[in-house]
Amino acid sequence: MSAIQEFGSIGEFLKKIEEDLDSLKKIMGTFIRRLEEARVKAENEKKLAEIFSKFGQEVKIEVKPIEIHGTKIYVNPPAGIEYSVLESVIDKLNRRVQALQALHKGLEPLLSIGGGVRVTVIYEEGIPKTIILRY
Amino acid sequence: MPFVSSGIFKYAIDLSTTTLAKIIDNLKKQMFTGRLQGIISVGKGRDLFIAMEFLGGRIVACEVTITDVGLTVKGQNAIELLKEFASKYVNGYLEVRELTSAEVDIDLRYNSDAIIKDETVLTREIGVPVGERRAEVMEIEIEEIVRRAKIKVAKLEESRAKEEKPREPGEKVRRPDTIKDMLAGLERTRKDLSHKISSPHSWAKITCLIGRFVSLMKPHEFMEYINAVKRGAIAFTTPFDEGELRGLIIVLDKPRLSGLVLKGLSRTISGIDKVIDTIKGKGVKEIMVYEIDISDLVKTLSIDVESLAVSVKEIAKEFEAGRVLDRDRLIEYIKGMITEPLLCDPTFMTRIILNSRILRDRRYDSVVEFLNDLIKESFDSKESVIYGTCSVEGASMKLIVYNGRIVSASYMVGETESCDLDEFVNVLKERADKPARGIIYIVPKNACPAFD
Repeated sequence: MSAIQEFGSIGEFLKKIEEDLDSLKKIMGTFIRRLEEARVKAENEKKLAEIFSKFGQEVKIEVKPIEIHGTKIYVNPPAGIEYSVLESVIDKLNRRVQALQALHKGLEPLLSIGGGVRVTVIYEEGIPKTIILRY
Repeated sequence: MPFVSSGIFKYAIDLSTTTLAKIIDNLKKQMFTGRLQGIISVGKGRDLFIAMEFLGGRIVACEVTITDVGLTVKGQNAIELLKEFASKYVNGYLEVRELTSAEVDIDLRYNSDAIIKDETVLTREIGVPVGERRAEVMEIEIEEIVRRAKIKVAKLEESRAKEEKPREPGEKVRRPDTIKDMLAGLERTRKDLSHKISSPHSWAKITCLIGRFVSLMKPHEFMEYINAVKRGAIAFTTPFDEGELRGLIIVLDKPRLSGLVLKGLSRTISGIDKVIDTIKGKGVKEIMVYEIDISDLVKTLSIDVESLAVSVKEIAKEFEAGRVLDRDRLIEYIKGMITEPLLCDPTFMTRIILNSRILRDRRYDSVVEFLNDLIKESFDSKESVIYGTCSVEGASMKLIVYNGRIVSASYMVGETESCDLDEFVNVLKERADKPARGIIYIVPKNACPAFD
């Protein structure tokens, strides 16, 4: 998602980053809880499959999704699928959090500029990619 | 209330070699900020305890106690009293203590009755040797001052008595007679409190008596200050609602910090992060910080500073010996921990989950059994990080244990999730004996940079 936002000062922009971080962390918290549940289920499925294989029974867990314009649809998928989907989402969220945290830290010295600076920020996929300062 | 800041002792002056007026004159020229205090003898067995505060060379507050009658006069009245002796050679010593302007501000806040409102008149009269301006100085006999002061104190006591609950007939209120009595009383109070030190509130309270005021700080400055301290104690007090919040942070070995809060909240909070969060959460803007030498804590208050950790160590030995702890002992062990809010940090959690391996996933007869298993596993798998989750009726709990020490603990009840250890313990107490499903994970240490 791309967007352009204007801020009255560096402080105002840093505050927006903090707000974004808070909300991202909340979302991540929810995903992590689901991931933990999915992981336990996936581990149990794996164990079960291992036990069956000892009896000569092969359990296939492969499930192919239906794709509609790039969106994947799973019908009654095993927990392992849910786990890997959540894992990839959390990984992306985590990268975003880390990027924002690093940016916040990097921008802190600019706070000394004080007022009178207008800040224009161009966001790409929720992360500030370009910052334009105007006096 | 007298002045609260102790300041730094600079030097003492023998009043038999100079006069108060000359001393004040010199301090004014030096643009001195601090306190001039001490006891002078004015004859007839009468001693005066003097405390005078300067800010950039201006006298801003003054307090004089006539020790034999136990009366304290403050502000302009104290100056009137001192005029009589300002240019005379008397017996006694005064000490000069340096304060910061913030300390003076605090003293003025605490001892507002002592504030000098009309400084210009005062400097002209007190600061100049009597020989030059004697005619301008109003003649007031000491007896007259004592008489006036007595009337004022009587009126004050009368008004206070009205505010307090009525006393039983014949009941007397003991007032300290002299400065010595007051100091002895203070000493008795300290000794008395040191025996009742189990309450962190009183602990924190008396700490302010032996601490050296550092400065007024904003919460973020306070955090930086604590981070810079390697070993020692920091007491702080800050306005809160209509009362006051007091706390004590003992820094034993970084980064192990112990925080104790707080009068005004009627509960104790352990853990530095929680202390800071609480302060921030209450919208506190300014914190008055005192620095205390740990040896002072031990000497003056007979406190075994290491005692906090000792009980935990004893319990840890039981774990290592393979003993299973009962509910109370286990709760005591967890309460003694100083935890960090790692489990509420999603970035950290992601790392833990993606890098861990499930060791056990089973049903336990009680949460206590699960916790025993978790901590024991940590003692057995030294140098590995052990992560455990437990689902119990109406709640879930998570813990990270490293070498038998609980590094972080969190709980979730409904939609509320928190890493507050006190609240965690409360959740645990309510459910300790209930059956639970517990999962124990092992995490390679290199996946947790926080443990390096």
